[in-house]
Amino acid sequence: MSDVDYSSNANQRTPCLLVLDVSGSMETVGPSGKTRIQALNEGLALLEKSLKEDDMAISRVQLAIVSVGGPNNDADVMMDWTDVVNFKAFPLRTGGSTPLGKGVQVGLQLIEEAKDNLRDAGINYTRPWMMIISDGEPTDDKAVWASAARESRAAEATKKVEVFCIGVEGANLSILGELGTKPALMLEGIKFKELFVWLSNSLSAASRSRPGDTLALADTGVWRNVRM
Amino acid sequence: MGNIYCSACGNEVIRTMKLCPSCGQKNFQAAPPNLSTTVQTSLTNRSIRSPANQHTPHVSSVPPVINASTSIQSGQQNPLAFAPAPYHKRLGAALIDVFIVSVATGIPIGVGYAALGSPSKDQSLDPLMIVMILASLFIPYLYYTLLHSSHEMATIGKRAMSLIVVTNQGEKLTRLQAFIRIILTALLPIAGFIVLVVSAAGLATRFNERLHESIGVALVIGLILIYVGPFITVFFNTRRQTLFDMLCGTSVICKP
Repeated sequence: MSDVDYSSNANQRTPCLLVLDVSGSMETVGPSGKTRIQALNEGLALLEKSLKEDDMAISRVQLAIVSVGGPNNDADVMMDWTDVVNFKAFPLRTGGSTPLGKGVQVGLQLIEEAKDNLRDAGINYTRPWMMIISDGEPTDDKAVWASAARESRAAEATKKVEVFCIGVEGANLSILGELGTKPALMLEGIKFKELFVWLSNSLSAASRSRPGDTLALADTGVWRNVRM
Repeated sequence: MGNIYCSACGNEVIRTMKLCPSCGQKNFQAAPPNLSTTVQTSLTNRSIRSPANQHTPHVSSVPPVINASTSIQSGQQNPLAFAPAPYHKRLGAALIDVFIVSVATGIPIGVGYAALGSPSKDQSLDPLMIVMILASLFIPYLYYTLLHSSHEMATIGKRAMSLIVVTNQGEKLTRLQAFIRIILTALLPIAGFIVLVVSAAGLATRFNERLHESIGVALVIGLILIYVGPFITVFFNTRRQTLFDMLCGTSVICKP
């Protein structure tokens, strides 16, 4: 159960779940001299800033974060559903392996909880987004990964969630792409800032739409490695 | 929404955190921990935690002390970061305040009548009664000005609905700002009313009687727009500001 107070803000919501790989490999230094985790943390701060500057997104977009790896070497809910208005970016720490399949399963469950809570509160919502960012291959058991991929694809196919799979240098895009119905996209270098600005703009547009609307998202070329 | 602290490392995080991003622990408390003693405690908690409550962080029952006015005035948080007042709460607050002001306005006049008795038709008003009537006119202005610029930043109605009025920078209103806000709220419709009536009267004298009815209808519509229009803007902007709020640079928000 999240701490979102729907009584004081009855606006339609656009939930967005970030499944973030914070495994040890995120300490790899990128072309800019920064580690991947440093770039990811800067991107997260930029996401907060961009969303809070948008009058509509600030009261309509909800964020949640599932961390994969990290100090606990596990996949778990790091931040429950939080209205952007209350969101404050925080630095992520790396460690451990990449149980991405479990992270996706935790994320799908969290999305269903968010929808239940929104329905119970009588709040309209647009289709939730799940953005999965990873720089490696999943380290789950094969059965767990297969199950997670199947559940995630089914959820997207039945329009329960919109899945975006983003690979950072080192990621296996074909495996990552098994999580959604769209192909996984490769982040060029460690352009997390560009990625999160795109996400902020896209969420702003989504928060302005109505449930059921078709949304034309901005071009991903700014952050995507088009050669892949 | 107040922040909480990781019991193990003291990291300050927002209330919806389930996992400390710094150390990975799941125990949180409302006040900063005394780290020399909590390390041992958190290690103990970790060893006995069951898988069933892994997603449920423990938060100490001691409530954090949050002072709404100081947290906003410190400028640490974007004022937009507070939820705008919901329509029903704002309406509820307005009804309570109008009731209070109506009662309070009648008190000086009632006192005047009690002291002097009701004047007869041919009798002019006693100077004391005139003073009492004038005093009653100032009560609404005093009520809104003093309470909006008070430490609570809210009238009694807004307090009852857990709302406060702040500037767009998230600061408490000064007396002058609060006064200008209520003056605009009261005088703008009056000025509009005078302009409208004078214009309608001017037009009516120039045209024949058939047009008088049309002018009368236009006058009624104009009056509705003047009195209702400034409040309709709450439905068309995300901060739910009335026209008066926009002009004064103020917002009515939920008390954090």
